[in-house]
Amino acid sequence: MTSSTSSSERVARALALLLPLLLIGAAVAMLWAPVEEERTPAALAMEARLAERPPQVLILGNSIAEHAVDLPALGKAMGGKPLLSLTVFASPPPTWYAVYKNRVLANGYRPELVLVIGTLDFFTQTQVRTEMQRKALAEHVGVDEPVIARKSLGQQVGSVPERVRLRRAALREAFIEAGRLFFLRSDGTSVTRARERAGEASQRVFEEDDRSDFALQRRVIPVVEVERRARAEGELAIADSFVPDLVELATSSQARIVFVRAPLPPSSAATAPGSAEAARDLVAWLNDNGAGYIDLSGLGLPESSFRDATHLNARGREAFTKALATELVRIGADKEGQLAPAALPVVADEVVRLGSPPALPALDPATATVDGPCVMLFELKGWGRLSTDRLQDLQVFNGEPIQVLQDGEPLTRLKGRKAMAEGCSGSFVHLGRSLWISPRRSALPAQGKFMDGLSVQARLDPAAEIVTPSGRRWRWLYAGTGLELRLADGFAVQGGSLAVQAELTELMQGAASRLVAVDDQGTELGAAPFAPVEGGAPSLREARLSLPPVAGPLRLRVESPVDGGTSLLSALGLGDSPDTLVWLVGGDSSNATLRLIGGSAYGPEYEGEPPVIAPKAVPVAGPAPKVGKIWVPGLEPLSNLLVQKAIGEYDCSPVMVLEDGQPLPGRNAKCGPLSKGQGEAGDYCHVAKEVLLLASDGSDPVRNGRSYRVQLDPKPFCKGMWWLYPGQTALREVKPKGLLTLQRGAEWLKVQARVLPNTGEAGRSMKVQLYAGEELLVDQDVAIDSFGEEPVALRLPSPVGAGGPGLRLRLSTPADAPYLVLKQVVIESAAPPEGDSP
Amino acid sequence: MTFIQVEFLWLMMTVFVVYWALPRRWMQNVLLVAVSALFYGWVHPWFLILLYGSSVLDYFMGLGMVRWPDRKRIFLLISMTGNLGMLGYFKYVDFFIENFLVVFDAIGLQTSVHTLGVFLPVGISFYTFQTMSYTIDVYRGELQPRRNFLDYVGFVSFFPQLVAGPVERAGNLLRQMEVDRVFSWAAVRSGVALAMWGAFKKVVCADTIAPYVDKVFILKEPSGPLIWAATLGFAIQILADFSGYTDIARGVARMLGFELIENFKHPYLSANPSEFWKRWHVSFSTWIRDYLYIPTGGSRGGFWATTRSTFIAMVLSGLWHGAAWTFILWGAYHAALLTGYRLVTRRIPDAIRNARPAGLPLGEAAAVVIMFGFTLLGWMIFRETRLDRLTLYLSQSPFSASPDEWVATWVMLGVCAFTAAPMVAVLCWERFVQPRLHTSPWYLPIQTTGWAVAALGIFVFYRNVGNDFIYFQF
Repeated sequence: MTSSTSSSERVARALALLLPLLLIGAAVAMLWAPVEEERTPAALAMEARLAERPPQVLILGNSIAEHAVDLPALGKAMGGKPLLSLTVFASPPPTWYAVYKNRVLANGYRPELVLVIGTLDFFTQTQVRTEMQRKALAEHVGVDEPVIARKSLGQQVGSVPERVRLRRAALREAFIEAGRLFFLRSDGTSVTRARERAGEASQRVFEEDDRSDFALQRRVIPVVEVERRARAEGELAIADSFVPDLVELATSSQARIVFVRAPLPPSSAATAPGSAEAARDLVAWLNDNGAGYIDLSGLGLPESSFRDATHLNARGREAFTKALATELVRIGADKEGQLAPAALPVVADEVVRLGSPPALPALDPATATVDGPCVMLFELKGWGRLSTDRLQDLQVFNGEPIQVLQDGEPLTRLKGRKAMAEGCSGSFVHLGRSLWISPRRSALPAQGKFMDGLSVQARLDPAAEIVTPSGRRWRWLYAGTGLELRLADGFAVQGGSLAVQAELTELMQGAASRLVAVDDQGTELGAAPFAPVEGGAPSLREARLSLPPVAGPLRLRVESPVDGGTSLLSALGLGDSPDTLVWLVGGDSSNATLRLIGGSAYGPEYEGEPPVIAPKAVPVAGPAPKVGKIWVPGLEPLSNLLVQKAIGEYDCSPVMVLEDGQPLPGRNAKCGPLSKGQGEAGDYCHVAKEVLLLASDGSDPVRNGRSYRVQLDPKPFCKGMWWLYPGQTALREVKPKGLLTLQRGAEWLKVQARVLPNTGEAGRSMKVQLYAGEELLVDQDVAIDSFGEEPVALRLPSPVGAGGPGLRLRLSTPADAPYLVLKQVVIESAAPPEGDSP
Repeated sequence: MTFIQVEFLWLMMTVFVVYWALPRRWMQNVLLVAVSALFYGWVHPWFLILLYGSSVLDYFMGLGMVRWPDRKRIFLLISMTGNLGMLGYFKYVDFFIENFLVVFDAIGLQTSVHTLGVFLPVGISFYTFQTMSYTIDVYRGELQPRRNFLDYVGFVSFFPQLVAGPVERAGNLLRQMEVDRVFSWAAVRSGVALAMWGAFKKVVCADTIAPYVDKVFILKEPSGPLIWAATLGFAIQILADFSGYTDIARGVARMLGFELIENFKHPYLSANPSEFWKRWHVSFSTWIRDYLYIPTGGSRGGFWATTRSTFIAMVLSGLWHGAAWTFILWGAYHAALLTGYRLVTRRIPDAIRNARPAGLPLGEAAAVVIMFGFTLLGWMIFRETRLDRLTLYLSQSPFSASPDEWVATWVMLGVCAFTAAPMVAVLCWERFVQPRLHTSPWYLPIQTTGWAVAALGIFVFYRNVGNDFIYFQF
C-alpha cells in the first residue's frame, strides 16, 4: 500500500510539473513559430476582390475613407473606370503602404490613379498605436518590410515580439468569437453563416447612422482605471512619413497619386497647432514630386453630415463624393497626363477690423418682462436678422455677431430658450426680435428683484473674426467699419494680372460696400463696389478687381460706409484669373445643390394608393413545416434578387405581408434558410413568384386561421431611395427658407431614377412638374426609358434660389408604367455633362 | 499605477525578494511604506499629501483620546470632520453645489457660488473609511491607540488594498503589521494563485465584456431584450472587475504574509437582499453596518426605526459609490429591497421556507433566481446615470425586439456565457470537486495546470484597449 501510494504521489508531482510545462510549451511554440509566407484571410479576401474587379482607380485609407466615398457615384464621375476601395478599418499609413505594395502591385495590378483619403494628421502618422491598428497592419505585411520596420515598428516585421503579439490577438479573437456565436450556432448553423448573421445584424443595430450617441460613453466601475493615452506623435517632416513611399510606389508603376484631405465635423475639427504649416509643407512636397492634393476639409459640412466624431454619414458621403468628383476633374485626374498642381494654402497673416462697430439699442431692464426665474425678455428691434435662428438658415453656426454684456463681461450665448438652466445662469438667447437674458448670480443685489440695478448691454462683436471651437471663422462687416486681410509676402502671379474677388451676404441693407486693394504704404491699387449678383440671392453681393501684379506686401480691404448695412464676408479670393482663385475666406459658391428627394430626410409625399397585390392571400404549405407560401404571379420583378440587380441594393423589395392587418416583422429575410424552415417568427421573403413566410407566433400559417395580405409598402423607402409606383404621384414642397443655400441661383433640375425591368409597359413617360410659387416652371414628359446611370437634367427657364418663392415638385407616372426607384432629385447650378438633357 | 500594468509585476517581484530578505519586521514595514508611497504617488505625487495628512490626523486623534479621555468625543469629531471633510470636498463638493443651487433658485435666493471642478484623488473613499474605523474603534474602547507611527502608517497605506479595498479594520490589518510575518511557501503559492485568479477575472472576463456592454448602453433606443442582456453583461463585468481587483490585493498581501478580508463571497448566489449584502463588498457593507446602521438604531427599534436606519445606511452607501443621483437611487432601491424582504419574510411560515420537496432545495433555487433578477434591476439603475433613459428601458418589454436586435441579444448573451463560464467553473470546482479531491495526490497537477491555463489566459487576453472603442465591432 505504501509504495503504491508513494508511486502515485510521485506520478502526481511529476504531472504537476509536466502538464503546465507542456501547456506553456505548446503555447510558446504556437506563438513563437516563425512566420511562414502565407497570406492571412483578410489578405486573401482583398486579393479576391482585386481579381474580381481589377481597378483603374484605387482608393486607400481607413474607415474615414470607407465612409466618405460613394463608390458608384465616384466611378461614374471618373468616366465609368473600374474603381475599387481597399480601405482597411482602423489603419494608419503603414498599412495603406503594405496594401498597395503587397496586395496590389505584388499581384500585378496597375491602377492608373490612386486616391489616398484621410485627415491631415493621418497622412503623416507612422506609428501603430492600438491593438486594432497593429492587427490591421499584420494582415498585410510581407516578410521583408524595411520601410515599415524603420519608420513604423522600430524593429523587423515578423520579429518575435511582433508575431507573438499578433498571434495572441488572433487567439483571443477566436475565443471571443466562439462566445459571440455560441447561441447563434445552437441550431446547427455553420460558423460562417452565424458570423455573417451576427455581422449583418450588428451592422444594422449599431453601425447605421444615428443609432448611437457617443456622448453617453463612460465607464462605471468604482475601481482605479488609469487612462493610458498614446503619446502624441507631434508633427513629422514629410520625408519621415509614408507619403514619399506611397508616391514612390505609384511613380514606379506609372500611376498618378492624389492625397485627399477629408472633412471633420465642426465639433471635432479643432485645428491642430501648426496644421496650416503642415498642410503647406505637404502641398509643397506633393507639388514638387508630381503628386496631387485635394483639400476638402473646408467643405463646410454641418454636424448632421457626420455619424460620429470622424466619419461621414450618408448625407455627408454624398456631398463629399460630389465635391471630390468635381475636384478630380478639375485637376485632370479623369484624363491622362500630369495632374494640375495644388494651390499652396494661402493664409492671411493678419485680419484687422478698421473702425468701431455701431452701437445697438440700449437695454433697459425696466422695459423687460420676466419670463421665468431670473430670466428677462427684451425686444431687440431691427436686429432680428442677426439672431441665432435666422443665421442658422444661412448655415452660420456659432458665429453670431451680437453679444450681451453684464457689467462689461460677456454672457454665454445659448441656442434656444429651453437650453437656459433654471435660475441665474449668466446666459442669453437671441431669436428673432426676442432677447432673453439670464444674468449672473454674482453681480446681483443680495435682496430685491433680480433686475434691480442690473446693467446689461448688447453690442456687435468688435473682433475682426469670430472663431468657433472648430476653427471656423466668421467675419462680419458692420456699417462704418472695414475688414483688412494682410498678406505680408504679397501674392505672386504667373500671368500679367492679379484677380481679386469677394462676396458678401448682406443681412441688413445699406449703401454699397467696397473692395479695395492697398499696398503696404496705404496706396490704393484698385477698388470696386459690391453689386448684386445676377440670378443670385437678393442678399448676395460681389465685387471683382483686376490689378497689375503686386510686388511686396498686399492688403485686401472690404469697407462699409457709415450708412452701409451689416454683411457677412463669405468669400475672398485672389489668383491669376477668376477661374483659378485661391480663397482666403470661404470658397467658390458658384456650385450649389438643393436636394428635393433622396435620403431619409428628403422623402416625398404620395398621392394615390400603392397597387394592390393580394388582398386576401391564402397561404399554402411551403417547402418546410410551418412555412407558408403565397403565390404572387407578376410580382417577380419586385423580388429581392431582381430589385438588387436593378438598383444595386439588397433588401429593398417593397413587398409587405400583413397578418391580421399587422405587418409581419421579418421583412426581406434570407430565403435560403427560410425555405428550410429556419428563421425567426414573422420572417418572410419574396423569391420569384412566391412569398415564403413564418407566422408571427410560430404557428402554421396554413392552419392558424389568420388572414394574410400581400401589399406594397405605402412608405417605400430603402437605402436612401424612394419608390414611385405606377399611377402614383410623388410630391415635394420646399419653403422659401429652404432655398437659402442656393445663393447664386440654380437652373438645372436633375432627376436620377432606376427603372425596374418588366414591371410595366414600354414607352411610358414620367410627368415632371416644378412650380415656383404659382408659376409652373417645368411641365415635361420624360421618357422612362431615358432614366439610367446618369440623371436626366431639365433646364429651368429662369434660375431659382434664395429670395425666390417656394418650390413644389410633382412626379407622376401612368398606371401601366414601370416601377421606378427615385435615387435623387436635385436642383443644381452646375450644368450636366453633354447628353444628360432629354 | 494599477495591478494589471506590467510595471506593477516588476515592482512586486522586486518587493517580494527584498521584503523577505530583510531580517527585521520594522525594516519590512519601512519597505512597505516606501513602496506604498511609490505605488500611490506614481501618477499624482501630491495625492500623498492627502493620504499622509489623513493618517497623521487620526494617529494623533487616537493618542489624544487616551491622553484626555474626557475629551475623546472632541477628538472623534475632529477626526470625522477632517476625513469626511476631505472626502466631501474632493468627491462631492460639485455635486452638492449643483443641487443646492437648484434648491436655492427654487425658493428665490441668490448666491454667488459656482462649481469648482475638483479633481478626485484615487482611493480616497477607501482609505478615509479605513482611518475613520481606527479612530472610532479607539473611541469605543475596542482598540488601543498605537504609538508606533510606522506600523500605523503601514496599516493605512498598505499598497495592495490602498486604492480599491478591501476596507480593512485596524483590528485585522494593523495587528498583522505589528507582528512578525513568517515566510511560507504554501502562503506564497496560495497568494500567487489568488492574485492570478483575480487578474484572470479582470483581464479575461471584465475587460472582454466591457466594450459589448458599453456599446449597448450608448444606443439611443436599445430594445428590451438587448438592454437586459447588456445589464447581465454589466453584472458579470462589475463582479469580475471588482472582485478581481480585491483578489489581486488579497493574493499580493498573502505573499507578503498578510491576510485581508474576503470581500466577495459569490454574491449572485444570494437568496435574499440581506444575504446579498453579506456577500457583496463585505468589507464595505460591514463598515456601514458597524459604524452607520447600528449607531443609528439598527434593528433594535420597531419596524419604522429599522427602516429609517436601513435607508440612511443604504442611501449613503449608494452615495459612497459616486456623486450622482442614480447612485443614491440605487442605494435607496436596495434599502427598499431589504425593507420589503423584512416585511415579507415575517409572514412566511418556517415550514414553507425550509421545505425541500424530494430533497431538492427548489425554494432556495427559486429564491436565488428571483434575487438575481432584483440585483440585475439594481445594476441597470447603477449603470445608467440618466433617469429618462432608465425610464425608457423599464418601459420596454424584455421580450420584444426586431430580428436584428434578437441576433445582437444572442451575441451579447453568448459573450456573457463566455465570460461567466470561468467564474462558474471555479465555483463548481470549489463547491463540488475540491472538497473531494484536495487530499488526493491528483489535486496538485490539476491545480498547477489550472494556474498555467490562468496565466496563459491573462497573457492572451491582456491588451491596451485604448482608443479602440469607437472602432469596436460588436
